[in-house]
Amino acid sequence: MGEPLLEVRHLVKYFPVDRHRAVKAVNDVSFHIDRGEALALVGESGSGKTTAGRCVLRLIDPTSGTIIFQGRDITAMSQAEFRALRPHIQMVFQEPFDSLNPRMPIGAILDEPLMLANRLTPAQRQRRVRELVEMVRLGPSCLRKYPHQLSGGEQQRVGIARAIATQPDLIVLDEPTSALDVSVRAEILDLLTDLQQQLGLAYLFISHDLTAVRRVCQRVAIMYLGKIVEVGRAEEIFARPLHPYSRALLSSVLYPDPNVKLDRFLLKGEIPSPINLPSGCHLYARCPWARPMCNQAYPPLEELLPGRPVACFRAREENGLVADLQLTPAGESGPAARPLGDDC
Amino acid sequence: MPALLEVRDLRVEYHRASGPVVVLNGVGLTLQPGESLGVVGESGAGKSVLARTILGLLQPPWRIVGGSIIFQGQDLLQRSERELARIRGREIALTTPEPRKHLNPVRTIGDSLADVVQAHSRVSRREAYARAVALLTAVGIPDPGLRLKSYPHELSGGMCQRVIIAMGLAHSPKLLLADEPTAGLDVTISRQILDLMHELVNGFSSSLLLVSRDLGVVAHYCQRVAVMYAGQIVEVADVPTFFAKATHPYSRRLLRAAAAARDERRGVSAAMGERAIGGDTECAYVPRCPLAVEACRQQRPALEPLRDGHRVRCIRAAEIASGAVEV
Repeated sequence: MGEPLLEVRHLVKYFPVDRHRAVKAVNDVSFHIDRGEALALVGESGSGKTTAGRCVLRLIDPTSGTIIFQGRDITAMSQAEFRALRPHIQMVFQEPFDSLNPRMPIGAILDEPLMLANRLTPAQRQRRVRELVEMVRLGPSCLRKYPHQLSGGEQQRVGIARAIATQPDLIVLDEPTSALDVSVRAEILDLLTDLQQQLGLAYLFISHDLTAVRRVCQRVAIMYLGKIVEVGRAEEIFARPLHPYSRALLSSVLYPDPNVKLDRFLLKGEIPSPINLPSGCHLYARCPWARPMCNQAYPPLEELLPGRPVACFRAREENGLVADLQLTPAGESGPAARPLGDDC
Repeated sequence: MPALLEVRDLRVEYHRASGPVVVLNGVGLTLQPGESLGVVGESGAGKSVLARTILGLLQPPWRIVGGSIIFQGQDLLQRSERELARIRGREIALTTPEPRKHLNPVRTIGDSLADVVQAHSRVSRREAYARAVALLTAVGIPDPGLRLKSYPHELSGGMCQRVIIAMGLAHSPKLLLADEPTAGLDVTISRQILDLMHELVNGFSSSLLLVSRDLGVVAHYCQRVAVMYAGQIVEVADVPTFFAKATHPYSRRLLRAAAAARDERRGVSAAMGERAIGGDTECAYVPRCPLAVEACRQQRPALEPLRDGHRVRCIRAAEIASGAVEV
């Protein structure tokens, strides 16, 4: 595969609260995305997933760490240098309406990134804009409309069209479907999957919605309180989460079917404050597997199965994995396997 | 066994300068002791208003224009405000979707909880605080003694919801009305709250009326389902029957939308369509119904039994159930 499209190494972002304290939003996070690959950053509020995405977009500057895009460290670039890269890294936001200029018709909104990229003549741009609305399955009649005249789903299609306008290599999608109605959510997810395949796009897909992630992404990184706790291929994580937090996250998806048995794998208590993080594992106080050792140090990411780094001292034993990476049959205590789709 | 709660033909209006809006249009349901009923429907269907009406919390411009709410053999709508005050919080309790808004911001959690305890039992302040600690422990709040001194703004959303549940269950009510108890909470916290509520309700053998938009919650935490549309119940069934054999075209659409959103396979989707409500002399679902025929426009259908314990408000219910027509 060669070198990855994006490589994030030891990313740290602290937001100071006062002179002595800081919110440790992203706390030593590393991941990579290959060309044409969709990676999900999954976590609950306060896990740092959005902050990590914003660092990749250079909307905020990290406290430390490097972000290497196409072989170049974007954290070391000047704003002008990064601007030249901007057409290659695009974004789609959570609130479709808030991210579109209310005083611009859709045609102008889609033309703007093309104009800024400065590669096409006005006639070519016009053609490209028409092509874009077709790609996101909107009619050409929307070009004269203003954002408020479109439904939430249509607005998000415009947001996606704008993101793909400059033929980017990477799109950062921050909760692209959470603000949408359940019924249009599925359509947007399908559109994203199709575009990824057609255009060979790479996605950094930030979401708390595991079912959305499952439809779009090939790989998943699960975050909890500023740290990645587990990474793996989507179908493997969904079939058998190894980290206790991943397992709790998956077991909290309530399928609208009383016959799907619930995995009663529950955490206790509340999410600790990212200002006063525990000294050991961040999940210590909530984890059913916790032992005194877990409160001593933060567990390192360790590859428990090929391509499955997990940050948990107890995961190997609790999942019945022996050191030579052979799986023992999952017994009563094993995670409940759910039938998987064939295209995760 | 006599029903714990029986709501009959309940009609509620909201009065505006331009005239009344019918919000509950003849709602009827029964709840047995120890039973849990999920009330589902999209926002605006009247689910929360139903819960608030049962507790007698409606004030002008809301107006109850008809029906009865029989709780343990007495019609709550005939009770005085003083009599209701004795029932509220002791026999029937309510949890709200926005717990922080319903906690007094200038009083500590301990003070608020002790007030609730003292509202219905003659105990000293000291005993009330001791009871508050026990309640916070029961709802899984760590360091309950310390937390008594916290103000609502110092607690997370999940903690506030736990405090509200603790208040609701302070007097082991016979009926808990839970309005969207997990709205706005993180998913792992939601599961914890739902399990906690389930356990406590079972422990007290209370009945539960759970208002939710999430069919996943209802599938796993309720025994029966009532679907509301435009202020009416359009289908009632036990949970296994509903999820296997839902019959009303609106219920089917809700189920399809829920399944599509949760389905990992592509190409599965179900548009809910525009929200629209039929006129007074036709089925309320007519404007959105793919099966509407002329007869649906002639009169409002009644909630008719289809099979044991399964009732549907649709004149084509038998055809749909037999598979003669596809929804």
